Amino acid sequence: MSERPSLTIGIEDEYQIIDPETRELRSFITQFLDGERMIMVEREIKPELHQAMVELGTPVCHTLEQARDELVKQRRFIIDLAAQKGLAVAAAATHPFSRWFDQSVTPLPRYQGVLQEMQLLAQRLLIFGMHVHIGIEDRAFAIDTMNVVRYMLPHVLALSTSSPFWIGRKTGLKSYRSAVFADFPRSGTAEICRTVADWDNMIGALTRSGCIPDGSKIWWDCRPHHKYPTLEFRICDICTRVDEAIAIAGIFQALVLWLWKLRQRNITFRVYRTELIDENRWRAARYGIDGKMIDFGKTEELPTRALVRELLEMIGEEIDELGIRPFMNPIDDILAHGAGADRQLRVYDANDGDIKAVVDHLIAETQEGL
Amino acid sequence: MYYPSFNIGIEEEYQLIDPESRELLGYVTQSMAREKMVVNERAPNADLAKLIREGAVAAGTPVCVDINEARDKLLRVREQMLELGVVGGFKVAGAGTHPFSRWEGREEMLAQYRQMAEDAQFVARRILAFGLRIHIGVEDRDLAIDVMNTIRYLLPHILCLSTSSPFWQGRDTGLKSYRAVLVDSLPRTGIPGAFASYHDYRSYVDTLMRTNSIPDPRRVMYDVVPHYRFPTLVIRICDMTPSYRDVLAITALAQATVAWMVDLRQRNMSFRLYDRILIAENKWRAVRYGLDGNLVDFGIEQQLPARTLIRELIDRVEPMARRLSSWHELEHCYTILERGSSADRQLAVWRAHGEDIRAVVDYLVAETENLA
Repeated sequence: MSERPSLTIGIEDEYQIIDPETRELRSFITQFLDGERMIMVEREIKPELHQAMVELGTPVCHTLEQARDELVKQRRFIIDLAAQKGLAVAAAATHPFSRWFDQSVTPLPRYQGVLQEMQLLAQRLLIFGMHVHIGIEDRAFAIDTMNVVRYMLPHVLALSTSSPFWIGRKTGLKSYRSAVFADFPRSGTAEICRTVADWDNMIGALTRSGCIPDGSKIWWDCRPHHKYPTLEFRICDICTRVDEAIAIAGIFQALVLWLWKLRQRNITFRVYRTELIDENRWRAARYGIDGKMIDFGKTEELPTRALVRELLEMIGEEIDELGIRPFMNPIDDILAHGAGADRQLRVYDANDGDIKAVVDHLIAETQEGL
Repeated sequence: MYYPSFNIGIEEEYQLIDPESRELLGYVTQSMAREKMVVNERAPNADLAKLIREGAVAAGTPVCVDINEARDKLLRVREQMLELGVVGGFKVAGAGTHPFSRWEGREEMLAQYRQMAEDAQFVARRILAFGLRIHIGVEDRDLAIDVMNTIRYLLPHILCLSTSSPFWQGRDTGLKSYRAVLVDSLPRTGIPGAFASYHDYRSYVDTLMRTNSIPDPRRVMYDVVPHYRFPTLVIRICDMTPSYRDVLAITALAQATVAWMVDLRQRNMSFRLYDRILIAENKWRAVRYGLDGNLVDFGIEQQLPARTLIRELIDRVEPMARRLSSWHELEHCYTILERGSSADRQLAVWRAHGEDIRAVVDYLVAETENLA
């Protein structure tokens, strides 16, 4: 058996750039493009398909505390940069009302390529996620973790939900981003791969047959990264509050440690059918933390809040071992007062359905804790 | 294992079109129930609904022993629909989506999906999507699961032939089957995983029911499923197509393909089982490009034109079709390959008429009403 994984943390966020007057999404990235190259600013900004979207990633962090510092710096940076152009930043998985068909696509060949390939679906993909990388050096253990951790991902999604609106309408879902992303091939719950060879065979078959250039085009909720020695958790809506993002990253870190320790004792979490996990995933997207999810061990529906608490107890020892307990308070707060999506809906109702008030709320909340 | 009947049942969905505005007035779905075909109308207009309810005579037993009987039944149902249209002042069209109607203000039409609309909310509201469901009789339930597992690989090929939904809310989606995207955004849709046995499948469905995830087994809507009540395998990946000849050809192809899977099994062989993610790759290509793209042959790990691979499939199943006396209908697949699927023809009509979307509706109506 290999050594304990490093459990390093890296967080990638996708931010919305907003015009503070109209509250609409605003094309931004082209202002930093010189032909096909990014003009150097002090951090690497990754352009995305939509011009109003920017992706930033933290460096590899060794502790959650360090990850928080870096994420705070990163958010401050993008807020300042946008402010210099008279713009604002919001962290939410959908814009409450801006329309996907009005958005400009970043004029780089690879995005024109995506647009050509995915057509209207690419244009609709105006959604913003958070990707958390946890360092796992042993590939066999990374694949093993992917199989079993699939079970807990809907529970974490429920905590992160921040996309109840779409094109100005209440969607009835808490994570409409999840529904939009489902239109894409190779998205959603990861398939079971029994061994590293299974994974390699699958990527091999897809690349040899020209479907994808490499593993970066597998957009599952959880995947071994194609370059870094990390397991990448992609299921979450971007969290509006930085401290919620950090708490969730901490859950992923503790989960991996928990599974590693189980493995040392020849124990593993059960692997359930993808179709069953999808059931909970759907409930998380639909109801967030307000609904029920299924405990497939008991074959019983239980309130999502209770299952999330159970999950936290399950990994409690690891949370303490990693010394990240102080960062976990936002989870209690979410369980007591709702996730980002719930807060957006409350603001909407409190302002008699004024959707612009939701945008103002998002801009303000994105700055909280910085 | 006892040898399957390969009986046929076809469930079509029809759009009711306002002859003036070309808007969608409502739609009619059919479903196998008890011993006869039941026609369900979902029209927002009460008079229209009443007319259809009273006018639609049961089309007789839905189970057809072969494609010839299926042809007679299909034509009779379509004729009936056209007659009702004359009385009720509507036109009939068959296609995966209506080219421009929007869902706003049409929630009542979704009575069928009321429960689902509560569950699936916004996602379900988008579902003005019309499919063709093909039942093939495979009475041995474990054999049905075996066929379900293996035939998954060939479903994208069959979908290519049926693609008929390039437009959505007046936009050219750039896809050939936007219906597939709409449907697959609901839970329990798309290419299913493999199941070890009928027992394995039932225990999955029972788990969903026990946990209140679904009220009944009909909510499991994967591209191929064993029917919850009839001894049939239901193939539901296809778009509804306007031409009845296309429907029959695609049905004959589905039937012969099922027969091929069974034939292999009888000879102690099996079509290879591929991972869902690989099959989904081909489904995506079918959705995006229809007949005009490449599909991947995962046996040789090479992309080949969809038409080439579909011709190959037709070659493989021709002996089955001859045994099932369906070759004269299946053959029409060659015509579809040559002239394009309905999606291709809709796009051609649209371009030929200066991107007039109403001309597409007229074309769909004309094609659907042509029973020659």
